[in-house]
Amino acid sequence: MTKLKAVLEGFRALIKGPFTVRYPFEPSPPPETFRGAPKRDIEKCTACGACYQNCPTKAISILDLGKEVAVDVWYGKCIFCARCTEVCPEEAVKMSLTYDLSTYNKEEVRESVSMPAQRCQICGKLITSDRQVDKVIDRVKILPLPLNYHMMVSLCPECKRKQQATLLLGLRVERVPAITIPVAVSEKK
Amino acid sequence: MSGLITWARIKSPWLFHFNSGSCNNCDIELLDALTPRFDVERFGILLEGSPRHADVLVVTGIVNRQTLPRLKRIYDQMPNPKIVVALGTCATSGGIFSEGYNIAGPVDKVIPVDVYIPGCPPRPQAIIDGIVKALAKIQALRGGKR
Repeated sequence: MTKLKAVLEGFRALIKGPFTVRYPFEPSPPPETFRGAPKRDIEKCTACGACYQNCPTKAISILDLGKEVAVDVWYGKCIFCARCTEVCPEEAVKMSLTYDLSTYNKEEVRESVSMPAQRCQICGKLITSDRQVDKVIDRVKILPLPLNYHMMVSLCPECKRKQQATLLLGLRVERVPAITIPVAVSEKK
Repeated sequence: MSGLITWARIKSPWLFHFNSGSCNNCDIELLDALTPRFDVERFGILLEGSPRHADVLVVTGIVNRQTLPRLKRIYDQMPNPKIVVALGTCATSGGIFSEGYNIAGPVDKVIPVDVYIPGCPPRPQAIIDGIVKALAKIQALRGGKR
């Protein structure tokens, strides 16, 4: 009986062809649900840092490039857990089907997305990207706004706290440079 | 003559697999690559039991303090020219364990690595891709010394 099975198997192989995948010579696409390298939609990403905070291996980093802020994913450290796609509020990160990441230089395998940065109006520290500020302003507009909301989004947490304290206690700060109010992109048009 | 030696090396690289504290997923994927489904043996690749007979050292896993001297010793035992492949995210950068207390660094901190295959674990196809790249490197090493 087992011999018959083996013979049948042999005939089946004649019709179906070899079982081995001819990978390096022919492409071998993974299944639809495969978790390959996470790819970022440049149009949607706001560099909010949700993926950076939730990355279990710290493969994602937010880089300060002066006028720009970059989100950098190093696939050499990524474990393809898809946590970044789950936490992304803009749904900008998607797991692609890319798997052939092997390299001679491990620093090469990274994806970097950069966008204009928003800096603190007083101390110049990086807060977040322009896009994120626009998003925040858009979302806050539904509520009755405090008069100083433009100040709130253009200062870093530390400077904001100092400002609030001075406003509350009526103290005078020695030197506060003039604050330029950021205008949302939608208003510029 | 050297051309003939290079040809022989490309046609049949023998592989030594060393687990330096991996979670076994990469090891399973490497063994998968040797099964009839993916069949790296069609490139003449053979899994070898002794580092003294091997051309390619495949390291999986982080290198912890206990495996560090063993890895060094195995590397020294291999004949020249030797190719080292770091298989998996852990071997490439430490991955999820990179801040552990017993880590002696990823593989390239201990021995020179030629090809990195990131992935957690990498697909067998990705391993084949990496091995093909390693073979290209052997071809570039014509003359023997690395």
